[in-house]
Amino acid sequence: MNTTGQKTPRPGEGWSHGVTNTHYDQDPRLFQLFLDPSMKYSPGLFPEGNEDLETAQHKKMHFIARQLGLKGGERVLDVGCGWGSLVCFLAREYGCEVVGVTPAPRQADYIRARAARLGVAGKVRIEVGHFHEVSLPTGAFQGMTFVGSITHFHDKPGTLVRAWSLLKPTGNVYLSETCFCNAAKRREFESRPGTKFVLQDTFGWAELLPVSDYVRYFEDAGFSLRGLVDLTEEYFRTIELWSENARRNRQALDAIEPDLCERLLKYFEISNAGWGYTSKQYALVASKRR
Amino acid sequence: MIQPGIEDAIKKIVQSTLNLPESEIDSSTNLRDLPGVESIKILRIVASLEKKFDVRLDDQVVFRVSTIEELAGAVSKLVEERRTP
Repeated sequence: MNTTGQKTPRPGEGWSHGVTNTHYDQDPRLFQLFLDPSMKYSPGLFPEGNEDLETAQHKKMHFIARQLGLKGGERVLDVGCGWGSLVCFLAREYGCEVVGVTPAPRQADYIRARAARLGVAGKVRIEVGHFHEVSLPTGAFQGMTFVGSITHFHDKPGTLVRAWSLLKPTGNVYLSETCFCNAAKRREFESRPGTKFVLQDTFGWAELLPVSDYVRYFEDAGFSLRGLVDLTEEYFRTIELWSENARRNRQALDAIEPDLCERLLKYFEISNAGWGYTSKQYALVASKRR
Repeated sequence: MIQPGIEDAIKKIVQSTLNLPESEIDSSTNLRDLPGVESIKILRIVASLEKKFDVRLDDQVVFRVSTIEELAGAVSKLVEERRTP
């Protein structure tokens, strides 16, 4: 999937968004062939256990809104907004003024067209570039989200420091990410071929940490921690459903790029084999309040 | 003491996970030597086992497992412990 042959930078060597874009800045049609119609590329929520993918993603976005304490009309910043599922959802369902940040121009175009189609163009602004480089108002946001995006950031502590400065004094952050089960697992598995296949070959550049590192970064940035949720089983189920979709659309995927379906399935299989053994999916909620 | 049935159940799981004929699978075979095996597949075998027998294997077993016999021994021990008051 990283077909541009770009060199992967070493951690700390500039921003990672150039190489990360090799995955996310591909034609959205590729992702439409395995994601749900909302194009949400992160785990859904299956409280009943038998939800279809679209319903699970819808429930998950309500869950995120509840975690942020949104009542309606707040200003929210979604960092690493993908194809805009959450941006458009919060604008439509909660009347929020939403700013989305993505380094991928294709995603930005896609979201703007989508917001216009949904009648929320006036409530949605998309900034193209790296979170540390785009211009954003200080102390302005009631809610901020990092849904599976901070893994691609080299400077994670600095990212949360900036998040703190952008929030209002009572603002909340929702951050969800794939993590190693613990520090020992990270040392043992970080350089294994399967890990490399997912983090470098598929995404360009990503880095998994144990959740305790994120807890410390939140504390160091001045946040109060409010909650931690284990979403591992939710992600397992989500990836099972993505795999089913990919298999169903094998021909269309392989028409985009030979063997694409198998590579996707391999990435899904590695991800799903590791849940609970090497990796976990956690959501952390933190607040700027004292 | 390996409990009857556990080894057979493991063989079935290995067979279906790796798509192998029964003749290829022997209790003393090192799982890592089986055709088509990779660490991902071994993790999937372990996950199926933990689910089936409602046990949680130690990481030492999960990541160092070699033979079916050894797996069966580890599962049997946990099932046995559960029955002992």
